[in-house]
Amino acid sequence: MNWWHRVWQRWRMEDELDAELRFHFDHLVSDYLALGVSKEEARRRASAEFGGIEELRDACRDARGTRWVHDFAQDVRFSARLLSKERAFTLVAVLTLSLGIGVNNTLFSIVNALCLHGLPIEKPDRVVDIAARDERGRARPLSRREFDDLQGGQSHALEGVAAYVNRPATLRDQAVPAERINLSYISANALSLIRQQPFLGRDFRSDGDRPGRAAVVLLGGTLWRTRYSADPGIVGKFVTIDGRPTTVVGVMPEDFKFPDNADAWQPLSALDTPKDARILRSFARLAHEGTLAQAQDNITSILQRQSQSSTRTIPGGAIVMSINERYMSRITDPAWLAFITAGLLLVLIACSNVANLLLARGVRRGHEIAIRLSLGATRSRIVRQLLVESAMLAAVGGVVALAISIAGLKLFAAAIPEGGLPYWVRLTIDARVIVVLVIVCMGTVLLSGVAPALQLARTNLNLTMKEAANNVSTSRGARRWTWVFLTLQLALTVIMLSGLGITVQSFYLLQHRGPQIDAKHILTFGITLPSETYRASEQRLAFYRSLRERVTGVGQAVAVSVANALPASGGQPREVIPNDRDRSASVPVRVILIDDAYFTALGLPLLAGRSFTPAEGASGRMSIIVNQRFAEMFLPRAEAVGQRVRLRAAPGSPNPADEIGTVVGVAPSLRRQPTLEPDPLMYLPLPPSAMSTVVVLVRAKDEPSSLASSVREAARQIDPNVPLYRVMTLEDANWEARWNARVSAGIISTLAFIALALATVGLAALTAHAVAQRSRELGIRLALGAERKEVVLLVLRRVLVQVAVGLIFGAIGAKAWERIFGGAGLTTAANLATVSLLVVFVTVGVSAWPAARAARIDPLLMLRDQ
Amino acid sequence: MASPKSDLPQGTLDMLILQVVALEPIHGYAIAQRIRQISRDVVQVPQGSLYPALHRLENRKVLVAEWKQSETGRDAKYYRLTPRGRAYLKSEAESWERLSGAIRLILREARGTSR
Repeated sequence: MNWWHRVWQRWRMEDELDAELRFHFDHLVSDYLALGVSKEEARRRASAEFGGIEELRDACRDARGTRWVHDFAQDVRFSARLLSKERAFTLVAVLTLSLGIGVNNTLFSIVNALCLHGLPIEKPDRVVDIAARDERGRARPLSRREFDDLQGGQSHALEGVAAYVNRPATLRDQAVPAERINLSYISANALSLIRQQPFLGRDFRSDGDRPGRAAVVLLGGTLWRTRYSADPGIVGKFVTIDGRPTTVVGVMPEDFKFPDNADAWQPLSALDTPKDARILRSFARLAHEGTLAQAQDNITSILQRQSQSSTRTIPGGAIVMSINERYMSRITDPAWLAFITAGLLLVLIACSNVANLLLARGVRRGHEIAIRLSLGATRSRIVRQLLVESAMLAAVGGVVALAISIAGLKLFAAAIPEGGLPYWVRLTIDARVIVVLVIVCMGTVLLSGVAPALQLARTNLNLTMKEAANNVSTSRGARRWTWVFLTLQLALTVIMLSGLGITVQSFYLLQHRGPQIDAKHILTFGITLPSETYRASEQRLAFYRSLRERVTGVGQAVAVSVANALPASGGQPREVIPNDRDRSASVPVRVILIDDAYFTALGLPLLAGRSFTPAEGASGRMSIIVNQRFAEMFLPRAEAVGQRVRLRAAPGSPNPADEIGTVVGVAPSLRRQPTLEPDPLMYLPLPPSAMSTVVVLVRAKDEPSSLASSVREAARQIDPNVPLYRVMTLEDANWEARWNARVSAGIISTLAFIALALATVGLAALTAHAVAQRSRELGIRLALGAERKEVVLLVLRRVLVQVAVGLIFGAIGAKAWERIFGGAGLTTAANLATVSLLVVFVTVGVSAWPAARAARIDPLLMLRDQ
Repeated sequence: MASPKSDLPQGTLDMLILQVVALEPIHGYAIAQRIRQISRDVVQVPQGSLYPALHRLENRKVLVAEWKQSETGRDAKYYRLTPRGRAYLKSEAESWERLSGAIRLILREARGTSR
């Protein structure tokens, strides 16, 4: 019989043991009978020789190694009975644990979805992302020429190489107005390499990668459902994409939006671009026995061979990495580490709280434990039983925590605007999350249960038995532990609150300090010009010009501006070289391309200098408008206008030399996101390279919502193929652009408030407990003439000392956090002072209640009771 | 009840049991009898030590047991050595031989010098 059988078939074991012993016994009896004694005498002698049968059975059970299982079952039953009897304690402990574990589990589920889960591709670890490496080791897209070489390069380590380019496009057909879609141009083999098949129709494999074929498109499931009401006969029908009649050849499943939330796909061959433009993102699947290292070698050698024959390539070779690594957020980023740490700290706070509850309860149980010890229970058995109690609390807490984290994930998902996250992010509870949940629950048993259990099992038998049952004084050890746990809790609360402090501060600054835009009265929308019909920069500029003219004429519109990014989001980073003498160092600064009316449309007067002129940028000299913050950070002289700014060549620009611009104006520093300091910004004129995707800002006299339809009409009159998208007030656009900050603020305030609540409840409960314990002493003091006020102060003094120590450790902890994870402003005097005041106010305020009860002790009653 | 441990050095009971079981599959009662007979009544193994030892050895997979009909016709639990048990017995017996040889040597030498 193996171990499991022995555990589950205990009755059978017992039967066999009995049979075995009886066999022996009967033999002994017959041995004695053979000596000629009477039957009774034989049985008596056999029994005497056999000894205590129960002891023997027990020894055999011990020897079998299954005993602890049955002991464990007994412990579970006993603990369940105890915990269900002490409802208040159990409720508080379970609630505390489930809040801590639940919030932590929610955070981990988010980390799991963004950093660990990865793309829904078959065997994603066999799919690698390929990029060219530039002189400075950065990843750059491939050119068409390089991609062709890779495809023709016959690398035995790779099953195949695919590429894609994402471009917004305009989709039009007879029925519905034109719509802007995220189109992805993919090489013919791309879908088969990631093992994805269309849900209807066929993929591009038969089209090949040669240009000049008839235009075809694969529709995404969502587009098919919303725009074509899931028409099953869609395959073979014609739609117009960027003005070209295109045949629908298939429909992809609805949850497939590879690579970046694509709505539809066209073959790469449909994209007509220069051979040397670095626009292709590339990936490959490793061949059956190929390794990443081989792929890296192969691809590097192919790219380098080619770079000798062409001057337009970069010599650094290739960067090949797992596609998940390229797409997923890096869990080792300080921001994610901080995220995870914050969750674990909350678990730690919950554990400290439960540990303190257990310690306080232990004092009440000292008598029970002493009795059990004196009846012969071993200390290890007592510790085991106490740990089983903790484990049961953690188990129930874990189940509630699971419910909390499901709700938390729902809340998180609801706070994210559509398209805010990559399509492959699944905010669900998967096996990994469950495993981590179980591990965290086990961790809480260790953290919250071990110290109280050991403390309680050390109960001094003699002392405890002598004292009255409900007046057992806390041992010094228990008090020390309580003190440590409370300090820890308060300190961690201070760290979280100081995080909340900067968040509140930065949101306040965003809304009430610095220049403000009247965002309610500005309408914004996006435009993407079809690349087929608007090839040249002049064509695009002409469209924007006529759009501005027409819209300005419409009803309420006061000013119209075209730019490449909204005030709160977007803009390309450019490298600014702040020091002319050391040109190796550079700082990334966001650049927004704007026209001459931008600041008028925002209603934001410049602080110095002038706006761009309508002809700005055409001359070849680069004019720059910087914001005040930029001037403070990078411009040495007080007078910003007229100073020069050196920029590194834009990535992908044909001319690698630095560019030098002259500051012509200084704009006020708008905060884009809730931050303590506004970001430095540069504005460059739109014209020289007017892009095909822009945003338009229309300033209205009042309510801009009535403007929307007339603006649409104006655009339709210029070109019906150009749809407007994301039409909304600037206020709404800002709200969407700041979702990330808002969600972070939601998370940090949840953490901070739970931490504060737990610490407060913990402190108050312990104060109440201390008052109950000291009631006799306090009663005597009152009887001897102490004033009630003095008694209250006596109790509160301890609370104050405890809080003060917690605050000191909290400040040290916040400093450490700032060191490790960053987070400027965390430990400014003002922030820490505010947090400390809040903590003192709340904790002392709540603890005053049990303290006041101490003053109401009736000395006569108290002394008579004893 | 006379304590067996005062008679048998610690750890030797397991070895004796294994040695007896090594001869043939055998039940608990017979093991006790056999040890007593072979040692000419010097070593008596009480049930209170025998059965826990058997169960412990079974748990350690040194012995396996099965129920078989005994010579008297009743079902009895027969113990048998596993290959692991055989190896264990061999190493135990060897180290016992070494130790007892050494003890004998010391006793003889010490007696020689004291004379």
